[in-house]
Amino acid sequence: MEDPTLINLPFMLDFSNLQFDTTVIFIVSILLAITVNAEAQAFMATLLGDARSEARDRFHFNPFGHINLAGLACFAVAGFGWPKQPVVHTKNFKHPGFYLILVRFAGPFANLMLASIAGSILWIMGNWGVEDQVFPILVAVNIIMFIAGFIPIPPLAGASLISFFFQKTIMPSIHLNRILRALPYLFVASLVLAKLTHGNILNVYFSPVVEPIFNFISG
Amino acid sequence: MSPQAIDKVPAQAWITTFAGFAINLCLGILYAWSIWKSALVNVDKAGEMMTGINEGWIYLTNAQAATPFSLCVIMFAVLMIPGGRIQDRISPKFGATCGGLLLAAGCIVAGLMKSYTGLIIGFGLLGGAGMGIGYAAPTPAALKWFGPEKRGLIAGLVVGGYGGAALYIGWLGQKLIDLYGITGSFVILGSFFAVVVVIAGQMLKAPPEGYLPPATAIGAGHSGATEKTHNWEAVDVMKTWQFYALVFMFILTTQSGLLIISSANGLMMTTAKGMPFFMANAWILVSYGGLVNAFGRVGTGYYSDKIGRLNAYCLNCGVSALCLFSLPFVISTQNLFLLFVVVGIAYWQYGGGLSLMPSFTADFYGAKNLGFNYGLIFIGWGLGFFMARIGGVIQDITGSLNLAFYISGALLVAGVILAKLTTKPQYNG
Repeated sequence: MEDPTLINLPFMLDFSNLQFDTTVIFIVSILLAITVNAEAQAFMATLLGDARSEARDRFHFNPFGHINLAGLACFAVAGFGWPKQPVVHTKNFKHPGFYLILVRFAGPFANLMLASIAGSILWIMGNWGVEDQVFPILVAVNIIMFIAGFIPIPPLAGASLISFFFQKTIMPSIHLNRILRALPYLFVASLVLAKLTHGNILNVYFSPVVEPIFNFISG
Repeated sequence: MSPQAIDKVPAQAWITTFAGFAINLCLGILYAWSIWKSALVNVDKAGEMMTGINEGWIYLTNAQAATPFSLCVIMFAVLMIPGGRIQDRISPKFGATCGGLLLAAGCIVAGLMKSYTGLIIGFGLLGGAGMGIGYAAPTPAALKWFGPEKRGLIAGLVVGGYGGAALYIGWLGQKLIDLYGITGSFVILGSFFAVVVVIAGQMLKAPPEGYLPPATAIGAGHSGATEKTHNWEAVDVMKTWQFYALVFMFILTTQSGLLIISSANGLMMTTAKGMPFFMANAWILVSYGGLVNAFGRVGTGYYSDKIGRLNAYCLNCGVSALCLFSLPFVISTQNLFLLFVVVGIAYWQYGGGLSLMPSFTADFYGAKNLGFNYGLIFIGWGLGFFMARIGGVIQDITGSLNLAFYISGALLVAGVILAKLTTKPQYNG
């Protein structure tokens, strides 16, 4: 399992040669990864003061309630994705802009933590001489989620940085909202296009970071 | 129904406890996976058809055989907290029956499909989902019937079922595989589980609204636990520092147990295997951990009611800390008796933590939302695994685990101090 050739990073399904076991493992890993990502955001928001009585709709730990279509499609194309963004009322924060960044980034960091936990289990299994292919994929998916979180495109955590720095210059309008809503789909579409033309735009940036972290965590 | 004081818990309370024990005895099949694994794996013949009683099955590689197990663990983790919510909102009966039937269906599917795919769907997905949903149901339901002075024992009994499952399923599963083949063993166990959970599920009832457990306040339990406890909502729970203290205490009991088990268990096995007695009675080695683990859950729960939750936690952690400090010496002597003692203590306190923490949660935050609240505290259990991995990093850097043992022991001492400082949260909402 330490063999790096076993797992391609970022982990993606090979659609021309789909294996039942890896497909199931990938889907289960995605469900766990988006749940942890979304719940961590909800957790952070609550902690920082946005404790709404109707918090149940974001604090339920039901994986299927966290699914976002574009985010799911992105998993199929690029190996990472995002959950449905938990609703956060920034008005309840002492420092709305800054706290929103903390809330959004709680997601990716929770993924890093989950990757570490899965890596630990992998390590213990290794100690006991158990070979496994499930936990390496769980580790891989969560590390990609962590790294991809820094991409500054709206559903991902990195976008909160942009809105923070350009808060004053960007005026909220209907057009802007429309663009923001379409952006995730455009992003996925561009990734599909890149994949069809065999361009590896993201991987060029991902690989140098993802691989060392993966190797460190999975021992 | 108006609240009224009663002297004794009604019979239903004990019926619920033992129904919960029975359900967990079924759900604990996870711990016995190695029995099927050894029947399925043959590295040399992987991919070839089996013959004889297991005709239709194909030999698997080690990595393949681990997949249903690992998937089961992850599904368990994914569905445990929603399972707690089902328990709180709908009913424990529904949660346990639904979980148990999912597991039963999973076993039967795995048996009838006779394939790797079937094992993934049946054991991994359906089985894991069933365990997650089912595991969350019995403990809170049983705890709600009892006052703080009995909570420890009750939690121990119910979760003890899960640990105890390793003992009988390992033996029974092996017998069934020998007699009826892999398919037969899954189908028979699945049908058996279905019958047990449907019957036991009917007996699993949470107390009616307004029920007050008998107040036999004799100064037992955690300090202040006998006074009336507010039923906290999860959102408020997270705002108390005691929540983080409980999570941290959970991390500590888990990490130290895992660290010892993962480093000494293998050594105990290899040392013992050379002896004729253990070669003839290999089952002792296999079931030793499970047995002590199960007894640790009941035992710790029992004395936590007598000497107080806090003292029980401190006792377990203190003894474990001593164990950790002496572990480098024990490992160097390779003395089988000492290894047995050390591994035993680790299993005992690991199991003990699993029965102490739900009772702590109930003492602190009330019984009403216990399922969900305990689910949140259970995150500490997951984080405990992370600490075990740090041991691995230390081993890579220093060449031995000794430093990790000392750090872990020191952390346990810190845990004892933290536990001493942790007081029951006051609700001012």
